Amino acid sequence: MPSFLRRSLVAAFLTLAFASQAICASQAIAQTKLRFYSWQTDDQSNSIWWQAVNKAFEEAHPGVTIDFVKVPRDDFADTMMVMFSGNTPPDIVHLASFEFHAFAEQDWLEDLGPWIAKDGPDLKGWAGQGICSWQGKIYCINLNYFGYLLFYNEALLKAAGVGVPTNWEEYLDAARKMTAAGGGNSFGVGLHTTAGPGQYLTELLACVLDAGGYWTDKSGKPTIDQPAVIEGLRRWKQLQTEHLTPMGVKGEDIRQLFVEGRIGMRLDGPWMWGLLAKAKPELRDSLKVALSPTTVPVGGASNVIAMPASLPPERKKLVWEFIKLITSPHWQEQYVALTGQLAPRPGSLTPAILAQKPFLATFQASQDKAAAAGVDRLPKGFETKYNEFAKIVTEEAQRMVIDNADPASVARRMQQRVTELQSN
Amino acid sequence: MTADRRPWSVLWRPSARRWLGALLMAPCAIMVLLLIVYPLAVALDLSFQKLRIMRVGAQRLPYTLDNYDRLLHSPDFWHAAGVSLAFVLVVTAGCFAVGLSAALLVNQSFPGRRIARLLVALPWAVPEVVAATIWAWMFDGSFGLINWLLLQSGLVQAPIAWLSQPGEAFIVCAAALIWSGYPFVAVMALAGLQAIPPALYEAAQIDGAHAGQRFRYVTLPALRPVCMIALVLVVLRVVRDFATVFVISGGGPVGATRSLAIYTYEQAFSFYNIGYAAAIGLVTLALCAVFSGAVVRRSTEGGLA
Repeated sequence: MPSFLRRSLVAAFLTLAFASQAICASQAIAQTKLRFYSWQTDDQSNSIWWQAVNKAFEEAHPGVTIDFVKVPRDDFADTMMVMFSGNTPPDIVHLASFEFHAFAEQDWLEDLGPWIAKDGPDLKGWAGQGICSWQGKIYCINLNYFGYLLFYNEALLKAAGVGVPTNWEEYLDAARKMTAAGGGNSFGVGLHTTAGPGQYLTELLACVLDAGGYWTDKSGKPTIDQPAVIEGLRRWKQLQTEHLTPMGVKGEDIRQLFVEGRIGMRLDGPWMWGLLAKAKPELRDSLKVALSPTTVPVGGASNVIAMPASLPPERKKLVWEFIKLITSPHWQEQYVALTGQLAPRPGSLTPAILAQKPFLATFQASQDKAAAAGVDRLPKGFETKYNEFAKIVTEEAQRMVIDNADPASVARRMQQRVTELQSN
Repeated sequence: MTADRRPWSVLWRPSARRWLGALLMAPCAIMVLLLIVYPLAVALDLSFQKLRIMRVGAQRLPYTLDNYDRLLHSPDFWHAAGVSLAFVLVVTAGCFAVGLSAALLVNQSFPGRRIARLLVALPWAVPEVVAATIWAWMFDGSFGLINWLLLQSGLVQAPIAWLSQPGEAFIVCAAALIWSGYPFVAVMALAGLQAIPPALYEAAQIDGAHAGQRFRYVTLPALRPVCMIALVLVVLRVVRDFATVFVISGGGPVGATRSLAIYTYEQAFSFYNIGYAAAIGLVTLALCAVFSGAVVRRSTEGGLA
């Protein structure tokens, strides 16, 4: 074969090979699918924002789609743990704020510090962002910081002859009067008093905070045996032993009972607002929201967004683009407008949105109050053992109610058990 | 005679019979290895490592007996073992009492017997989680059907906090397990009853045995082999049950219904102590194997096999 012919053939082959490579590469980009698992795919508020922001991202990145998959909240941590353990994590990692430490501890999450430093959002004043910093690294960006609110049934309050409570004494008095007026068909308050230690701990915390206590001090040392926590436990016990709440009911069922008009007052997060739309028309106008009557509302980061450390670089870039988009001023404002909840980015609650959704002023006041007090559901010092901590406190608090035990002795036992847990 | 030249024909020779047997058994053996032996080997491996979270491809941690040492000294483990034992005793007794009674009933001739047999087996057909959810709703302390019935009938003056009190929660879980478990005993016992030759009853009657004596000396001995098998399966079902108790009570309150299955799940998926959870699982397996072995041996001695 003449040499020029051979060279031509080789050149043609190489051209063909490069062309096919290029086609394959472009197809690969065209087929890029970012896996995003969440428990917020079909709720009444967050899902609307997620759908909109996912669509905007896909439009801005032709050829990239987001596979937005529902995993029920109860199974979420287990599912994520299995996915990470099997080296098949989702591309976009959505976690509750109290569970990401277990993932960070395994070095499964990317340190977002360098990404933020390069071209990330300005996190100054970003509500609840402190929770994402752990052992000198930033593992996530907080998507929601909340302050607990008082949701109340105005008709039941009126029927009992009481006003909206503004402190513990009024709250207790209203609960007693509404329970008495309910005659067994409705209760003054609704508490989560059954399985589900995380929710139990959060609701118990409302009483503890109001009494001026907290689970740990700033250094992470347990402070459960302090008088203020003991007083909080006593109040928690009082609400149950006086039968002011239905017993053995889960938080989600309590919310449903509230929407059905069978619970007079419920301390809960702003996500409860979306559920009120489910109430029957004749009941809807009675269901209202006010600031929590506790001196300091329960507060905390709700959910965070993160990135797996094991992703290939080109996927990391895409995920970071997604994180930048959702934390941009426009989409943070949209979060407020579409979900009716506050976004962590300062200034996201604009006067225009506030005019449309005046209740957000109450949400903002509660969030500011909780943030100013530095409150979070997740006790410092137990970041990676939160579930065990919650289980111990829940079991001992349940025992206190069942056995009618002295809160002081219960607090001492809690203190002893969580101290042992921390030292193990 | 022309020799068969096909290569596998050699397997049909009497001298190669054992190889043929091995070959025929191979697919089944491979499945057993994959589905039972391999996971068991992984669990055994994990149980000797002080591992919080498992990760595919991660370096193995040094072997240690720490998990077993912790287990033996853990009050929580012994509490869970006690709860499991209590469930086994109560639920097994309940399943046999209700199941045998139901089998004896539907073994009689009466109009509608076919429908009665279907009804007896019905709980078996209801998915575990669905049944457990219904039980949880029925026994809701504030708005449940059972409390409403009790209050309406005047049997109680105040609602019973079924799922907030340790004893009551245990009773509800045990009742749900009996409800879903008795049909198996009933079906097994019914099959056993139908296999008893009528001549035995006739002979006993001629000898002057009354109904109680016929049950004691004819029915029960004849049902013994079936009951022993049912006993093993019911006990294993109760020990490994997770869904029913978890949905109804979540293992609470104050751990009153936290069985070994729930304790294992809690350690593995709530507290991320995979190594410790594997150790609990293996000890549970060993206890079940010892129990099953003892019952099967006793059955064999009694002439079952």
